[in-house]
Amino acid sequence: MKGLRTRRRGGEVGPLEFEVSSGEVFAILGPSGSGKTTVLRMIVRLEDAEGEVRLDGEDLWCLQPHILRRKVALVPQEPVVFSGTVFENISYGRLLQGRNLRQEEAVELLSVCGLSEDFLKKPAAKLSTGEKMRVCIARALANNPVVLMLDEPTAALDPSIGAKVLRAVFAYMRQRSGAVVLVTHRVQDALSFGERALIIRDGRQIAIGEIPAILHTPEADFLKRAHD
Amino acid sequence: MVGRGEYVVLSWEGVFVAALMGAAALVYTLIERLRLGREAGVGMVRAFVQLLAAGYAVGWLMRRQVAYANLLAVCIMLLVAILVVLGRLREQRFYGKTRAVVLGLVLGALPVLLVAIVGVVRPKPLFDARYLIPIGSMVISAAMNNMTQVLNRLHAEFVSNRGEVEARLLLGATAAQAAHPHIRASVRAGMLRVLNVLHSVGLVHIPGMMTGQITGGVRAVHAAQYQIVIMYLLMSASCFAGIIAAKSAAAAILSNERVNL
Repeated sequence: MKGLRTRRRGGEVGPLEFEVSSGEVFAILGPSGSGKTTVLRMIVRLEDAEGEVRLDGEDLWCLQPHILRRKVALVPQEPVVFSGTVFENISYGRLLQGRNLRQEEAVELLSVCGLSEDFLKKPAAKLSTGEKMRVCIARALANNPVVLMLDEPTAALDPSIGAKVLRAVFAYMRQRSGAVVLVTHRVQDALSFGERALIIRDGRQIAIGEIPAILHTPEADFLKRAHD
Repeated sequence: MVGRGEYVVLSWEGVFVAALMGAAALVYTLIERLRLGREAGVGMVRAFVQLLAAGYAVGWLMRRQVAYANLLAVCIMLLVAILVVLGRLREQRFYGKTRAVVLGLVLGALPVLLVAIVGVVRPKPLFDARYLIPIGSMVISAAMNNMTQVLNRLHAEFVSNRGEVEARLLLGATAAQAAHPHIRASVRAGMLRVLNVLHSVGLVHIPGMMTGQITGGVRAVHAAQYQIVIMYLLMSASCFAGIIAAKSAAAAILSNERVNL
């Protein structure tokens, strides 16, 4: 990402510049309202933005947005499921491309997200918020994205198994040489899962580097204060 | 006794008696403190003025029988319909609203009207005001009412289901794919009202045109024949206008494959 910034007036975000390597979990860290979600939305073109977003040298913004979003998946903070069963939800992205999702694939994706095969036939709307979030992650993975972006996933996931689910998802992406961008306002999440982090405040890039070293820089002091 | 082909000419006293009934209903709403008095009063006055003006205008056009003037009258009706729909959708702010309304009415109502005149009624002269104006007004107003309802619902669908629409887009749906469930819900909501009328027509409700023809001395079966044709035309105009407007509005709201609301 190069020179990434919003085009709107008011609540501007950017310019931002960062790189994510394949197999990496990259954290975007900042307090609530700092523009983290906007960064993700800009990348997948849900927000009008300028700059450059490249994937292995390919300019992603030259692609039609729906093609871009099949390569770069975003799971929003609020899990939204469609009417129908969990299987219908998970296979939605594939059906859009005229391809079917085999049941074994769906079972594998559910198991990565810590859900059993029994969930396949359940109506998605009747699941708990945490279960919906896991279905949303499985649904995003079904498109075989090269980059998976998760917006504050721990907010919706049950704390007891949230960390386990995320580790399994990150391992799944790593196996496929995919990258993960994890947006969080919790320093602990960045420390637990991230390898490198970008810190933003009021839409501006404050620091970028390895975790935990970056968290000990003076620029990151405000995060520690917020955390304490 | 009134024979076939003849009709009873209403006196102004008769109109006054009917107005008294309207006024009585108005007073009743005031007694019940329903706060409908102003709207009902204005509505009664507007209906009187507008219908009387329409009566004189159609009478004038029928006496002149100038095709261009008749077609111009249809264009004016269409223009007024566009303004009425835009007025009713004043609070629904979205990009591409005017284009959707214009496309819906022009592409939804005009071809149906053309088929009605050229293919069904086939009057001589072809653009006879006696047929063109009343049939045109029915077709345009059916399209107008259905389109208003469809666009109103579509806007509400996008506002209340923004998360769902974005979730579809994020999974790689095109704008048309993401909008489809909401277009379907909106068009269905609009069409159900029209289809309900089709189900009950003739059983309880004898529509205005058939009633008018029967009271005007036309044979009841011929009046029914006309009404059947009109019902089909109204259904198709409503359907075409609703779908075209909904698709156009959805394409504008989801232009660049993002929700622009």
